[in-house]
Amino acid sequence: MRTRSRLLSALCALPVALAACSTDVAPPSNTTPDAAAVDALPADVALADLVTPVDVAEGPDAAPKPDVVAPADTAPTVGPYPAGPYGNRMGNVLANLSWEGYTNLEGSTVSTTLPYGPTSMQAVRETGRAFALVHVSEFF
Amino acid sequence: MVEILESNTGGPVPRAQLDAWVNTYRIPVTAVIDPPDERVTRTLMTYGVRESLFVVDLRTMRIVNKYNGSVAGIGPSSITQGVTRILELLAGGM
Repeated sequence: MRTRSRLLSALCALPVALAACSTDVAPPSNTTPDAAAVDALPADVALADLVTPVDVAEGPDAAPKPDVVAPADTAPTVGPYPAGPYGNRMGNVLANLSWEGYTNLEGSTVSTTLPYGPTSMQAVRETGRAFALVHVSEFF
Repeated sequence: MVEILESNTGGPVPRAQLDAWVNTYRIPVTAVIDPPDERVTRTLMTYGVRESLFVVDLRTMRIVNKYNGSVAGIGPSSITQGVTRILELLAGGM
């Protein structure tokens, strides 16, 4: 009698525990029989057997496009030389003269080490500098 | 900075004298002469006598300042006078 009573108590307690479990953890709503079937595939099926080869065959590499060619260096646009009248006094426009000699914009070397060639006041303008010091000397 | 050797005892300057001028004083700036083919002292006639320094605004080519040093070599040179001014201009002064 005592043993039967214990067994009944255990059986009665079991549904209560199962009910509690089903209440606390709800089954996923998207669980389907198919999902279960996929999980049931044998482990030794190779992945390649499951994939249909649909990739397009790879063609030869396209020829690289040439780099964009930069335009040749051009002098900064400073416009035409200012019109006269010209003069050599403060406030006058200094005339555009042409010379030949050594152009030395950096000042880092004695000028005779540089190429000899033509230049002008307009060329000085085209350096893009804001101001110039123009000095005249004579040789005796 | 443009250094113009504008005459040789009143006449045109050959290249050899420009070279001697630059090498003697080890000039590290643009140094030029009138084109010898012209056989005239065009710069001397246009810009004036030696030891003159022009501070030029290169946008307008107007002479902002002009300095004359002593042709006798006495007192401050035109360069000495003009350098202070060009530094002011480059710093944004008027």
